[in-house]
Amino acid sequence: MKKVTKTEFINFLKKQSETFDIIAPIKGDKGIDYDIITDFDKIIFDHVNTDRSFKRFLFPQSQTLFEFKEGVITEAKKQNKKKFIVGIRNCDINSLKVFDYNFIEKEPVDTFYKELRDNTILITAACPASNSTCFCTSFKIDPLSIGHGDIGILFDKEEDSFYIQGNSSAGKDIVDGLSTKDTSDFDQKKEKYKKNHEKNRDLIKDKNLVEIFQSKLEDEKWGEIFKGCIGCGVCTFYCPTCYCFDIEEQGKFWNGKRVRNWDSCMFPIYSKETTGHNPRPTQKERYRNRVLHKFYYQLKHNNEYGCVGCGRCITNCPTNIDIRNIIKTFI
Amino acid sequence: MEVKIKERLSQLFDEQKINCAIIFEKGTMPDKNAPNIIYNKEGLNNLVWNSMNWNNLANYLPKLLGKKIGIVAKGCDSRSIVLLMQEEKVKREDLYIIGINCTGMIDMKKIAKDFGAEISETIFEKDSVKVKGKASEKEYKVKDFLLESCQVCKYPSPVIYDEVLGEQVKGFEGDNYQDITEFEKLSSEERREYFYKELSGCIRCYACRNSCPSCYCQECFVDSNQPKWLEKGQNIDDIFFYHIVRAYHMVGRCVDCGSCQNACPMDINILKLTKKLNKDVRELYKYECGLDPKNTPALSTFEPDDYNEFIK
Ligand code: SF4
Ligand code: SF4
Ligand code: SF4
Ligand code: SF4
Ligand code: SF4
Repeated sequence: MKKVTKTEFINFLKKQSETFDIIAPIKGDKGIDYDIITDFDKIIFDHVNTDRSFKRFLFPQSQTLFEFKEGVITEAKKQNKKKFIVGIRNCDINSLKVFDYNFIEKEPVDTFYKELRDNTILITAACPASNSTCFCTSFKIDPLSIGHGDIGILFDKEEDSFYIQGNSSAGKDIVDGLSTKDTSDFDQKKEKYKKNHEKNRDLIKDKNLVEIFQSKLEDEKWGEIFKGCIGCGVCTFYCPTCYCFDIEEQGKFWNGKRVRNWDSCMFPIYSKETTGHNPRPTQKERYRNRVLHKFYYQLKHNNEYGCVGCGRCITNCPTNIDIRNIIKTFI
Repeated sequence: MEVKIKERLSQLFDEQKINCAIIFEKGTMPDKNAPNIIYNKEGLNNLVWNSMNWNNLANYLPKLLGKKIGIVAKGCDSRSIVLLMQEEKVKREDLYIIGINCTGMIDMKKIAKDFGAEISETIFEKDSVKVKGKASEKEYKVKDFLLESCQVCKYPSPVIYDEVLGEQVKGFEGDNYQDITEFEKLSSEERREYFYKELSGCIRCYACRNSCPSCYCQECFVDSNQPKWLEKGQNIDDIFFYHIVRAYHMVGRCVDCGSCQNACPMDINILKLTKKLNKDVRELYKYECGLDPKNTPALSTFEPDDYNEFIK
């Protein structure tokens, strides 16, 4: 582990920008969100979390798979500059377990995701505080960890300094060149931030959700909890772990491209079959699918939760459907 | 107000005049309330009435077709009810409308920005809200932080109801499409640039569509793939196309409730498009929708002397 001043850290990022596109949180019209950095002084480090997760940089909302022209297929153009994403919170970095399992570990490998994943350096950051909508501790995520991603950092606002640690071999190589101050006070610093996380609630408390939901697949409460839900795509598009996509051909006849776009299980067309039949005919079934996919199916098949407790679906839902209530209703 | 609404709905359940009700419940967050459909009077426990009830509750009516429905309706909700009656999505005799004289809804996103810290509590007084955070608190006048649609709302009092609660409120008397008149003065390039910039943030979540009571098609044109009307990706022209077509489907059918814009997670100003068309309908057909169920909507009728400059 190393300890550097803020100026040193910014200079370090500037140096990386020769090789990488630096993506970090800045303040926009709407709120704090990731963007490609041109002005390094604008990067924000002490926020709770960004408006949206960094998912769109590894899994873009629209991604061209290949192009075709008069019968000839050409590969989609690759972005050649590597990415360096700074400030990823612990909930969000854990969402990659879901992506890696589905897109890399399971055959066939999704080469489009893997290509972006392999060409991105991920810098995680200990969360300085929790919002009342944070519940990552339910999933055994430590908000103050700096042990994930290629590099982990803890920003101490009081001293304006950064503790920085290489985790992967690529991360270690990058951090290697930095000079350092004494880091023996790290645990003490970490302890200091603990009290900012009191609002972060463990809603699951080691209960076995697979067993619980197994017996509740047809529970009548499913008919009640979704009622205000209008079936938009806000919760799924904001969710760092939602990975569904749809593939379409764009263009005319034999000139065009094949593109994949984010899809949402909250849309009626998502589960509509060619015959016109829809096995999830109402919002009740669609909402149930979203919940079960996060807390039952993935847990059963992969032993990982499909939710990391970031709270984005709660803060952005236009009808205040609160996934925490759903968990509380059933367990 | 809250107590009265509860009392009345509870009686209506008892008298079996209604078998469900569309209400607002206290939200799980201090800056949100939750629209909900309830089926018995126990459901009334969490009922709330304050200035965070911006969702247009008429949005839930088409799904409840055939039921006896109690609905709490602000001015704008009541106009949507009229529209849905005209379009035969709800029958007047199936409804019991508790009208609310509306004093306007507050823009909590704007307040959150001004407040600067996480909001832990909101306490509503008659025309103000006290916002509390961990270390600070501040009071806001509702009228200084109204949502865009509420700032220029002409019909805050319900236009159709079985009974109405609250003191009569005066609607906005100025020109509610003044901003559009200003916008029209820009060159087409400037307007185009404005929309391209604004819509570049759109994530195509369709919360705007789904939050609107006038958008009730079984299958929306954006969802249809046989035939396919537009492409689904993040190409700005496709995004623009979606918004223009949605707005066109609103001609003579938009009640200016702002529910679409308020639902947008990306804070995109989409009212500009619908307001422009509302203004045109008002000028060209002398028609404002959702006021009288006996009227026929502007585009559902034809008179020989209708405005027809565009057919040449
Ligand atoms: S839960 Fe909320 S955000 Fe998700 S589809 Fe329903 S209304 Fe939209
Ligand atoms: S379901 Fe909600 S809280 Fe869980 S990871 Fe997705 S957006 Fe975050
Ligand atoms: S548009 Fe008018 S009636 Fe509707 S919420 Fe705003 S002020 Fe009330
Ligand atoms: S388009 Fe927007 S303002 Fe118009 S009726 Fe629909 S939700 Fe209300
Ligand atoms: S709600 Fe906003 S982001 Fe979603 S589709 Fe509408 S304009 Fe786009």
